[in-house]
Amino acid sequence: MLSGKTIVVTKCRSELGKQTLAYMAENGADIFACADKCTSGFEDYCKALGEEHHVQVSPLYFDMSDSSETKEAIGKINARSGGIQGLVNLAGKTRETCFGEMETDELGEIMRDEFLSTVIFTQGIAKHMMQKGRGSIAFVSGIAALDGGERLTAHAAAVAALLGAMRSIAIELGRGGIRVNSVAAGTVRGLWEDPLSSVRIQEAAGKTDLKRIGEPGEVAKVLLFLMSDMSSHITGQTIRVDGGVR
Amino acid sequence: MRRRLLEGKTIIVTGTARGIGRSMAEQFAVHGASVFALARSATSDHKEFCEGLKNLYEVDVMPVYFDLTDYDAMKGAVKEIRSVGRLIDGLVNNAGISPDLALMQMTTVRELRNVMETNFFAPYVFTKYIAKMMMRNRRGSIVNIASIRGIDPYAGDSAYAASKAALIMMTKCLAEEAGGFGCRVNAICPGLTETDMIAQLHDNNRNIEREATPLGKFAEPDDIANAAIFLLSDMASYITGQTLRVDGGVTSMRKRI
Repeated sequence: MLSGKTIVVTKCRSELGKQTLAYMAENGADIFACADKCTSGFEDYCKALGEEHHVQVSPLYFDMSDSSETKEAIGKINARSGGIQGLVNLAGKTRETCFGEMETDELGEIMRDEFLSTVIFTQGIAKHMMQKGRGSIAFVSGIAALDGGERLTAHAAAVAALLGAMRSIAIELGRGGIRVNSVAAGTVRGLWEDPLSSVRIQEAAGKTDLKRIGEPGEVAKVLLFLMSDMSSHITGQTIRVDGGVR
Repeated sequence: MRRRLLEGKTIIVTGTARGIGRSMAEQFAVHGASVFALARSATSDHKEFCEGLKNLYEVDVMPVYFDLTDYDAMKGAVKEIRSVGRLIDGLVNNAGISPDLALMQMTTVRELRNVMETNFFAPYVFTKYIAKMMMRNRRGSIVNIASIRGIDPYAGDSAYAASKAALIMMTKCLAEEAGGFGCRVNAICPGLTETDMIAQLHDNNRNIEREATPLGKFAEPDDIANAAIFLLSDMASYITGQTLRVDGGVTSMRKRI
């Protein structure tokens, strides 16, 4: 479904990241797999994927909150001949704090990590995509972006900001042949870097129509759809992948 | 992901005589599904179309002819489908009508009833039969073809818009009712699509509408079919109760009046 395309995926070290890489590679895409740090497990995983599916899976390590490192990474990615046809911005950590106890610094940090750095990185990649006149960009967030959530003021605000940016970027870049969408994931195993507690899983499952939490592959498959030409008339949308949350 | 995304599945589609429905019947076959291709009248063109798909893609394409607003005929059609003895994996409620634009003050009760009858009551009643079969099998995906008009208000289209809004709410309620039985229910909201429906649009209006679309083009029927394939397939296994806009990024219809 993606043969001939090169896709950039950020924050790949989570279970969702790995599954996303697997679906993209299986469908014939070359990949830049971005992560904050190099671990041997991740390095081996990328190598094995590339060999299995006869595609290039190139790990790229940089700190997205560091502007010079990010700039350097964007330069490396954009140097690729043939250009970039897809960008998947995965989610990093989610941090919880009571509204009443939230500190200004903390709010700023979360906005920087979850909103600012993602938008700046996207700008760098999109500029290059525009020159080629074709591309698909996806942002992944939690449904807190739409619904809010207990102890999630900062996180929900940051990802809601991302959705506002997504819709605006979609309007601006549409004529340039670039589609921009987001996925709002419900409770999904491996969405974040931290594992879920079993109490939380049970509680979350009960709130869905399908009566279960999601698997990382179920979000990855939607990202595959958004990166593929099957979704060529879909832009500016947020797809909830949440099993039907009430 | 498998290259043929609906391999081995059996899908029912309504309104396959032309436009989006015809494209869906074809694309589902391309993706390896057997298709019950429903249409109002048994024309030789439609029979040949089904026969052609069958030969080309080596799947079963079974035409079933009846008027969706005739509930006795519908009952007969459901019996006919059931008698084939296949498990039904998917249903796409696509058949619909789009009346000429008319301000609310100019819309007669008769026209209003007519639109609601085809666009809302018919899929509601038909879905009751098919969803029952799916829930018994504890699997299935239902896709309702609504419209962005069911979300964004548009002067002169109150009857059609209300019928599609009703269909969207039916989608969400059934998603809750059927979710525990392993069935997913979603809606697609196409924007303007290159079918007979917009062939009637005045050139000037076509340009205004195109101008208001970020991707600068209208949807092709295949774009809607692809979205339906996604929702019917296992790619969307954790998506239910959603409305997916396939509209090239149109944000609001209101600015253009």
